[in-house]
Amino acid sequence: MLNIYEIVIGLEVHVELDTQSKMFCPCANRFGATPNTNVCPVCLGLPGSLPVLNEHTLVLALQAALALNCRVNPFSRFARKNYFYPDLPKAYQISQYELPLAGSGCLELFKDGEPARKVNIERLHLEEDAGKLLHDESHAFSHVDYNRCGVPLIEIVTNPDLRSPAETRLFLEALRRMLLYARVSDCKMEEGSLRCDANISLRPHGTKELGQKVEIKNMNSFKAVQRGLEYEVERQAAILNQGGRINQETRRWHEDKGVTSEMRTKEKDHDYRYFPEPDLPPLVVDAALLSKIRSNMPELPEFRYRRFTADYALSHYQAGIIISDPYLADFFEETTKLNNQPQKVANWLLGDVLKLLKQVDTDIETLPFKPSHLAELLMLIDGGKISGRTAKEVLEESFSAGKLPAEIVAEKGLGQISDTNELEQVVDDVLKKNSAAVRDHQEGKKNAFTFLVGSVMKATRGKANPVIVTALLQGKLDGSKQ
Amino acid sequence: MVGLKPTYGLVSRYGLVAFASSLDQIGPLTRDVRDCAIVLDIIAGYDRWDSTSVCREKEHYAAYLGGEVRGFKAALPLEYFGEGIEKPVSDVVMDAVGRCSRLGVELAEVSIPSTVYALPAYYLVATAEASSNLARYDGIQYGLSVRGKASLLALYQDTRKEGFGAEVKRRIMLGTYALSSGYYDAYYLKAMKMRTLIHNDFEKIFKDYDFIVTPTAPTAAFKIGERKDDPLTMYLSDICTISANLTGCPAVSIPCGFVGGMPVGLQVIGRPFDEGRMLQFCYCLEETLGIKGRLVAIAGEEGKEC
Repeated sequence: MLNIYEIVIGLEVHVELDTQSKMFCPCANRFGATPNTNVCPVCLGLPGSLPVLNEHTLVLALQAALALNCRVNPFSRFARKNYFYPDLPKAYQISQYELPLAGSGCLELFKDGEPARKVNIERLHLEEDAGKLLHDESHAFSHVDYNRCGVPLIEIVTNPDLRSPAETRLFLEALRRMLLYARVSDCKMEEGSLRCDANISLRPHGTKELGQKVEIKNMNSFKAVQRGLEYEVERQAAILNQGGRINQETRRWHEDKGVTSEMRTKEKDHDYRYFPEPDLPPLVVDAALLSKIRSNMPELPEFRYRRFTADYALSHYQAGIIISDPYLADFFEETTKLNNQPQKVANWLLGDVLKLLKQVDTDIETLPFKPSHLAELLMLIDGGKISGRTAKEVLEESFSAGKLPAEIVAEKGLGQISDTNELEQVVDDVLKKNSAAVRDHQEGKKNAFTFLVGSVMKATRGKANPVIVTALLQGKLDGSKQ
Repeated sequence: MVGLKPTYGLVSRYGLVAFASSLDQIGPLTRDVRDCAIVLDIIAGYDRWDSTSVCREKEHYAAYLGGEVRGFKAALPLEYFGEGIEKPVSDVVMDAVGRCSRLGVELAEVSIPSTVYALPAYYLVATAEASSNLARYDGIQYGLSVRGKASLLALYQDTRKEGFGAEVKRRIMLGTYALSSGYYDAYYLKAMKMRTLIHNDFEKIFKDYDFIVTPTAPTAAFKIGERKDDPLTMYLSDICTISANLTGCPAVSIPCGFVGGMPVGLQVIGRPFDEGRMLQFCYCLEETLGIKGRLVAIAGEEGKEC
């Protein structure tokens, strides 16, 4: 029954900008601080205080606009969005309404390195964040934390171009990647620095007219967005199949129950009484500013992808994973600069490093393990100082503590023995003690040789250079045969 | 009293409890023009904490006082001397203006057709902005907070019902209405357009004239508490002064005579940031009219009744 309908989805995405200070005052923009410590008369909305735009906010918003191929409006305005809520101390949010910072953008979704789908961006505007209510079951009242009040946001509104919950998730992942690349936000949904509301409607396939849309809120992860929308598709389809009508409403997603429920209907919808913010002059973005930002733009993912497959001869698979996180891509490039073996670097990153990252559940940019560490590790392997197996051990140790691999090798005595004289003694000793195996070997038993190599390794606690050991054994055994 | 409303952006609004942000300007209210200039010298200047503050070189206003006024050009707009202005009041102002011409000030009658829009435009813009500016007095963070009932809506309603007076509530309701969806275009947007028209008219006048001279109010000063129950008459008494707020131009009001024992104000509106020459002109007028002595005499008589 579902496939008689076409799904139409549009998104409103809020992204906190990664500035040092807030949008209109010098307070720190920092997540996780003690409640109400990053506040001042301006962000608390005290009488007599006035907003002054943090210019870095504009720079980051413009970087985002350019990354999303938007047309930047040379003249835009701030507007007041009026409503009462305890987390909004001025009882209005400074936002943009009629004249947003940017519009008419788009984001390409890629499949195997090829553009597969284009999602249009209707507008991108600047606004300030509100505070946060903290509900505590043991009290009949709630607390308010104003730390987030005045944190700069961009709101990105897409056209209703998305056609399935899964595609919506892909879009969000691509958007997140793009914004990470544009270096405008850390885009952490779990910390609220990226938030998403969705408008969704169904229409019979082949019709042009849009169905009645419903807004879904409170989806706090990419997975939740997909699940919430999937639920909503089923809900709306069931109503339509029974000949019912979809109400114009806002619904809330309940992650625990896996359902949406009515939040407010059209009749109770806010009238925000927008009007131009008289405390701030119009936002003028002249050609000089725009070209300065354009020339300082960080490299965007598709360019990097192309460069990585061309310059480093990475496979599409390797390049795809490495560029998906700009910090991982940075890590790759910096390591390669120190140790020019792109394939080896990629293999270590995609194998052991990603595995360890997953285990400790952290981001590569916050690790004490740096590109110089990985480069040194590869150097130790190449120089025959440690074996591949020892290298994994050293990596694990270096990973969390950030200690240099060479130091770990020295401290723990993990260095490979490549001294022929030293190894010759051990080999002689092993041959003496294992005359039975030597005989087996001479009779042509293949695993006897492996056993002898293993015995040498055991005697050196795995530190013997296996190539030299093999050569020495070969020489001695061949010699004794003659 | 001498009152000066500086050019919008000359005096920082940081710390000023906002009423109508695009109109609000802090200005001196003083006994005479010299004090007015002295206070302005202190309070004027750029402030980076007010984004509407204008960055320009600081001036020394008191230094303008006593300067020659010969050759200054003043425009007398017909609209400010006719209908709605009490005849005795406009006569007193005209009489004072007549003295200016003897000092060598060139006078000419002009017309500012957009004047009729000033009052409605002002009361739409001002109340709209006030409804937003006064929304923060909601009982959550500071000030009065009436918390008898266990609902957020009741807290808002009871706090604001108890905390605001009748005139404030009237203005909040007017402004909220003007900004409401479906009415915005008809009221707020139209008011902003009227504001532009008035601004253009003023600019045109200031191409040829230094000042616009008008009565400060349609009547002589009224007694304390005399008319507070009649809001419309109160709004109408602003009719002469609000154009200066709407255009952002500076304006000075000085007493220029008396009607029925109460002082009559004369208003001088000038070009943006021309406060220096306006004060120079007003200082000269104040001297010529000998108004300070006459004010002291009246204050003395009133004093006896107390």
